[in-house]
Amino acid sequence: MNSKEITRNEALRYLGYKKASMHKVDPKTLNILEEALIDLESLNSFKYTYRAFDIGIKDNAVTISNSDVAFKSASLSKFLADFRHVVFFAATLGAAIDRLIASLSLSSMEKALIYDAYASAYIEQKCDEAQKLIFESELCGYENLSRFSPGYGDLSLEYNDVIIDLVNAQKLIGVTSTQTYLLVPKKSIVTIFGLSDKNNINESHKCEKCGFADNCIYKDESWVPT
Amino acid sequence: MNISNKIQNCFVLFDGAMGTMLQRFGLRPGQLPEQLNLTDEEKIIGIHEMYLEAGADIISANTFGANAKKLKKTGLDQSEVIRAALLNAKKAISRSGKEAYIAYDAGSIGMLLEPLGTFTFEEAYAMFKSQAILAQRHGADIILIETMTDIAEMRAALLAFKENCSLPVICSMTFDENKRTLTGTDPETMVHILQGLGADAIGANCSLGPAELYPVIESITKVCRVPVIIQPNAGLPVYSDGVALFTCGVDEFVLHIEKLVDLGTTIVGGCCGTDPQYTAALKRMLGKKSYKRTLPEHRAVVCSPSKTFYIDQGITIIGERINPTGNKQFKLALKDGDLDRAVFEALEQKKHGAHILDVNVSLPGMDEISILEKLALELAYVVNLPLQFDSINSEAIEQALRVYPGKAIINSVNGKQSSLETILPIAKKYGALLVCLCMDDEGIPTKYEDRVKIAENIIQCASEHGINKNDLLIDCLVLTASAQQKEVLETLKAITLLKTRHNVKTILGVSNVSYGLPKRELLNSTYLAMALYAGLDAAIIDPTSSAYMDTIRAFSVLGVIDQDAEIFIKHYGKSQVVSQSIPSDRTDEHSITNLILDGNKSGLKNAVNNISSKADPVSLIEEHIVPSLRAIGQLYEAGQIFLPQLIRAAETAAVAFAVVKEILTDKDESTIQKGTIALATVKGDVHDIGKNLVKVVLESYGYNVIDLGKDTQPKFVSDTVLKNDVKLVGLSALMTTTLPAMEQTIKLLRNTSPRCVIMVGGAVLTEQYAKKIGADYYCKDALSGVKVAEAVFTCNA
Repeated sequence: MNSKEITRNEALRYLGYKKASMHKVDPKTLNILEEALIDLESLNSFKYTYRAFDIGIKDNAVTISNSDVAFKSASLSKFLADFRHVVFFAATLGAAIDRLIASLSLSSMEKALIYDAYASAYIEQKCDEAQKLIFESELCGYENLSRFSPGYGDLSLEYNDVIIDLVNAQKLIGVTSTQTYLLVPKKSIVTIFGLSDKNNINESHKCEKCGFADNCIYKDESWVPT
Repeated sequence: MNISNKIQNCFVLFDGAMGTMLQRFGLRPGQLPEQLNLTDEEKIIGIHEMYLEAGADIISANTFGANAKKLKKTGLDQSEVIRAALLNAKKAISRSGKEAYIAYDAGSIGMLLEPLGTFTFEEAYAMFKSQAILAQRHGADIILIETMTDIAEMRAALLAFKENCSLPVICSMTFDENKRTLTGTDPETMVHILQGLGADAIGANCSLGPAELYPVIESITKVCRVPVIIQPNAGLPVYSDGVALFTCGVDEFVLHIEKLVDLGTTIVGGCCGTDPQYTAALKRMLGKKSYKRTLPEHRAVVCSPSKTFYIDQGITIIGERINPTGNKQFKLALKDGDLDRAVFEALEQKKHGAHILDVNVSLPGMDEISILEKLALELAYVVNLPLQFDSINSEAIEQALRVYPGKAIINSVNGKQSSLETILPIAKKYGALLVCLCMDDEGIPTKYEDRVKIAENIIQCASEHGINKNDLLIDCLVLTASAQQKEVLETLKAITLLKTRHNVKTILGVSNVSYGLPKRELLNSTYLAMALYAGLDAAIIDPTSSAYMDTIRAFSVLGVIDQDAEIFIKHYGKSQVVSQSIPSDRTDEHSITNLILDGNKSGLKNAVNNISSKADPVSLIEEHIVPSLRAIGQLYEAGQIFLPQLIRAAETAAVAFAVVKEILTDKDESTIQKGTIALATVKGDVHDIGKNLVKVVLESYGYNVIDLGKDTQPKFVSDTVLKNDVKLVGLSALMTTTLPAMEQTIKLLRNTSPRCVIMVGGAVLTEQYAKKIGADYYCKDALSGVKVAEAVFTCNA
């Protein structure tokens, strides 16, 4: 599968399709997914920024070396256990896609729904591409595109603010958070991933990391909880 | 020379980066630079001194992040931080022995304003107001609001500083390679909005280097009537380990800034990556330049947050459909507090070619001030067209102008002394254009000369208030041909005389002319053509009516506005393809289900019209539409169809309701009423797509849904429930951090409306958690919302 197909299938998964039902997608839905791709490509609004820091892990907290910044989280500590050099990363599709979806929801909720799902999948694809570029530029042997965001496991959403400040995301790419720590623009990602020259690091499955699997209709069907 | 004179009449040199210097001196990750004002004052003073030594006329105090939100994390007192920062700057100036000024430097709070985010205008305003008061108290000479990425926040800041201190205010925003701010404003639009609000200087800083900023400054200097400021980064950054390294050396930097000075920039400085060497080199360059500033012409211009529209380029079309008068559905929606109908009307008018939208939400017994404010924000967010606020309530007009992140038109002022005294200062303060009605205490004069006299008086009074005549749109007013036929031509004579004598812009709503006569569209469009020939600039019309748009397009050709008939040919040149739907006589359920499932709206409309000619329209819904929707719901639950198809079906079924509603309204019978449900995304949450899906599905089953929107105050929910006697409320929340607001809303509802049933839904909710916070039902998807509604309203019936 090429990245375009992967993104489309991810969007379909957000729309409630399972692996077994992918062949049942109706032509209208596929057409709107195509339109969404064209519109997102022409908006060309994906932006990202990041900074890498050395970290230390102690007592279920990840601290940035030579600073007072600490992430108190057992699940993040576990995720980063094998890393000493870590990227703090923020990305967004910008305000224009939020506006587009808001206006679509008044003329066609069907379209708004599909665009919303596609934009969510699209930003993940763009983040994968950005992450690969960062791995290349940091001469990183490690290639696993997994990431850990506030809201996963026991890492509180409040850390969205900490990461936004660390990477200067508000000023550089316009990512902000609300008083309730939700990201605005809505199609934004704030996340953390490790850099290493090793390529044999064991990682937990993304559904395992997230912590909401018991109640999630989108979870990976092939995943077996450990 | 005082600072105001200096920035208006001389080159002014600002310092360079503070943050870059602090990083060089060991600012730690996560540390707020403003903390150092108290802990490392010598470091801060030292940096200021270096810039003063290099020749800076103005140094920026280390206050960029000294706002309540950023300081909250440090536990420091805002007053202490600002006092210390300004004191450090003062000490540096006194140690240097130079004559220099101190700018209070204000940056973004870091939250996006409503409706993009949840931060309100008033909250943002308050955070800048406290800075304004402290800046002046502790001795700043001038205010620099900089690195702003959102025009809405920039406006809130500018108003707060203008209203709470007496210092000049410089406004500078950040643009990317696409010449837009991060929320989409272009440089030209920024200038029009901010100079309308009284900014003392306007420009750009950060994010790009001086070479990349050339096109931005080119756009700014073309339209900016106040001094232009530029503070670029030292080139585009190259990242290493995510740390920005700036690539533009001193000589190259100065070379490019010189080009910006040649464009008309008079205030220069540096942003990220620059240091005192850059400042010193800029000083040498400015010493060789001779000061010149050109003043662009004052044009009639309006703006949405991301678009500028000039009223002096052809015929301006102002859409009149956002108005409850004569629009029953709009009126009903507005009474329920539902603004979606208005936004929908806006999108329709935009699609048909409106340039500007007139917004009127006056209804007796409604809180016009808050509705107009909310709608102004919603329209600014979704519909990219400038607005014209139409109200006789001057408070409503002022509040809408305060929050609207654009440059709007006020509709209207007239020749009465009381009207002039109230409205002119508001127009001046917010930089709004003004519709001026040619009437006064005596009413509308019958003779055109007398209407022109009133207009001349308004022009004169406006000028005394500092309002340029190009910001006025004179409305010579139309009387009805049925009652006052002779006076119909007086209006046109007045237009022609005003155009020739004063060259002012004119505006007219033509539809009044045909009142009481048949064939109104014909009379209106004919009169429109006559008015255009008389010199009319802007027509307030219904752009969804092709008669008016046809007239305007035709006149544009014949009046030599549409050069080479380019637009006309583009619009009418190719034969119109009329979509053909085959009318269906089959009305069995199977075919209705298929029509709904296929999203065949026109087919369904035909089918419903067929049935309704034979059957009672209300039972039609229950006997034909609802069973089809149930069948489709079962397909969805069985995994045969999926969410997009379910929503498509719901939206298609809505057509059947529209047909039935129309029949009932024609018969003046009460509409279908299965029950009213209020839906809201809770306070603090901006994710409303789930709530919107539930709405569409509930409406398809015939329920009346009051949509309270997103980020909804608990009290707004409880008030609406009480006012409309709502039996069922649906609340949604996406994240764990917004669940407390859901619980709070439920608690309030239990107090105010104990019999109201509450259903909840959202990604992180579970059946168990829903019970825990006191909800009656947990809904895992939109269909389960329908099941709850059916249970609730069957019991109540």
